[in-house]
Amino acid sequence: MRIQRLSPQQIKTSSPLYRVFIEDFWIQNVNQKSKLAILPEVIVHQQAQGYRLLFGFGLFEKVGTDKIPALIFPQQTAPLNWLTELARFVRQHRELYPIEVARLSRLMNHLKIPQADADNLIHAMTGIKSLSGLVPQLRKLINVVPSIQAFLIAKKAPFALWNQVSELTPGQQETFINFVGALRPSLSVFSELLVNITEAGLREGLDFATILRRIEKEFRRTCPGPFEVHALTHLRQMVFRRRFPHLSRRIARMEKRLAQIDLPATTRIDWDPTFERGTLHLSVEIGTVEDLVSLRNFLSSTGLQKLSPLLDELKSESPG
Amino acid sequence: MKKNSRVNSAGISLIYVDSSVQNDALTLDVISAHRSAKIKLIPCGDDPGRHLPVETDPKTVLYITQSKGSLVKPCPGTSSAYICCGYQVINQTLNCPLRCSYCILQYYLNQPLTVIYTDYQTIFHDIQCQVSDNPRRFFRFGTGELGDSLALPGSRLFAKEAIVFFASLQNAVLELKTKTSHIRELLELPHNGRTILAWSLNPSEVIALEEHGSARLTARLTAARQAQEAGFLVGFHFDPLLLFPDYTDAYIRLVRELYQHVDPTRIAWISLGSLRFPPAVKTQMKTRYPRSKLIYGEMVRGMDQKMRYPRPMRVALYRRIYEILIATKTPPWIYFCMESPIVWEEVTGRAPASSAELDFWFATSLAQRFPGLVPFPPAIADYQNT
Repeated sequence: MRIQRLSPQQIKTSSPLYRVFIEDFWIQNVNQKSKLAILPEVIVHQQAQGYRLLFGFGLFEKVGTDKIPALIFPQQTAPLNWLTELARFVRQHRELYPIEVARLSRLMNHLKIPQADADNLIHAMTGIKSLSGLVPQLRKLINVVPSIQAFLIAKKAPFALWNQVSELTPGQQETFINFVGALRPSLSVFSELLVNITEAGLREGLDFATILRRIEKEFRRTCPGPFEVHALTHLRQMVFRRRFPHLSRRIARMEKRLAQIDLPATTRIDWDPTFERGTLHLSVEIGTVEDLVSLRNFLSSTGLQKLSPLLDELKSESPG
Repeated sequence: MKKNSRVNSAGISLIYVDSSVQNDALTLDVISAHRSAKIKLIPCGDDPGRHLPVETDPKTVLYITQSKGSLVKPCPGTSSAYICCGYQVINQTLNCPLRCSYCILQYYLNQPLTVIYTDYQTIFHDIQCQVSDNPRRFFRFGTGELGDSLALPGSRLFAKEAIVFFASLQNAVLELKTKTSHIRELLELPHNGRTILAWSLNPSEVIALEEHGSARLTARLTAARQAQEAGFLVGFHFDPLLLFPDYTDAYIRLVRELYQHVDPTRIAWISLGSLRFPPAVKTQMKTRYPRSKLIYGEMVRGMDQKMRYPRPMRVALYRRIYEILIATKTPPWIYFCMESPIVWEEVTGRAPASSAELDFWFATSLAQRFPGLVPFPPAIADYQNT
């Protein structure tokens, strides 16, 4: 490999297939160095005529007509070798993102790299043992839209969540991230909403776009306030009610009854929100004689009368 | 007819035969039942799985061999939170050629093929020991736990031997549980009333959507009637019960149809069990049966960590079906498969205190309804101590 300054006209960037890696860590470097009027090297592969850009697309788009320094793979370097070197270079900074694995797989397929070699490279870089079984899923992953890619990368999302998102069309992904992303969900809440909305739609026989539209409409109509945390809680509850209509009705009734009971300050009632267990759990923290007295008063007076309807509520056919 | 012939051939394309069993009668019969399958003899103890490509469908490859351990075991049940009936399973066949979307076998069994064990004399020896060692206890054995009892020729060949074997036992019965109608070759056998032919039932619309490759409902019910006419006791398993739009009407129709075909007084037992599966199975079901909507039902993680419908929904489902099932002059014995005492109580008004007590209830019910089947009055102590 050698370093040489190349004019942008010598570099080909036409095929998006070669833009495999996200240059997040490198862009920071570019920004820092450009303040000192120094540019880091882009990485290219020498062709019969000119060079193919492999890494440094972000810089290339900025430089205009100025010459830029480039690290050059000689023409005879086999694609598997320069791909391996590039992947290693990225992994010096961080693990590969799922979208990069998908693009890497697509490029290796395009370059007709034998399956066994492709498997070995992916295994070495990610720990994934057999690429061939994953190819259909990886193909879908390519379609994850940039706004969701950015969210998933920032949140370090696992492969499984990337896969879930990739089941949606790009248009559905955009609608989902525009709506849900604005509420700043954590990764687990994002995943929960995605799964529950998808599954509620499948159960109700509605496609994702339709159920999402309906949920968003209802959300806009009923959301209590502009605060993100409350809005997100409201949305989660709404979606849960839609995904688990029977269960959520039962939970709401139980919570209503619980709210009607004035428990002593050091006492708590727990119950199983799946209703598998039909029992109440009374937890009491006793630190003083007064705690004991207030518990006795609660149990000997109206407390028992109020606990009984709670037990009824836990029965399968509650009075409602 | 078309459907049944598909089950008959069972889609077996390759049979591995362990050299130690190549001359067993069962091996030769199984091979001749799958004439179009390719046969490969492998050295004794060799693992045929390592010869198979990763993507091989385990339902298309048979492995005929001898067992390395006992094939007769207590039903694994699930957890102490749910009551098990004390059934004894005979794992002579592992896996099943039917393709029921909800069946956990296809996701659960770790063999890349379907296994047929030929050493039925060992199986019978183990059973004989168990029943002789506990002469005051009444046992129920069955082959339908890790595969359909009658779907594969290898399972049917074993079933024929087992029926004759159980005919001579005093304190045990055999249950053959199936979703097929392959009973013709069993009807003439000397069963002595000690084999229960049992069918898993679901409404026709569920069978069409979810139980691929199985016999139609009418075929199952017709077979059940033929079994009764041949003097067999019969059993039915409403398992898995499913929640879907208009399920109540569908199950009411199913029970009516059942009672039109068979005499309720000659039903040994009926089980009720709702859909349940380990959470990991959900993804696999989604991939394998994308048209099935079962996994999108309202389900929660139960006390055994399996996904189930919430208890209030299960109870409503069970109660409706239970009420119709017992609305006959002499109702059959109805029990729940892997349900909690609270569900028992809410549906039937009583609950066994333990799995041992349920086992005892079984024996008592059989003794009362079928004189001579249980040779002594059951005592709870005999079930608690074993």
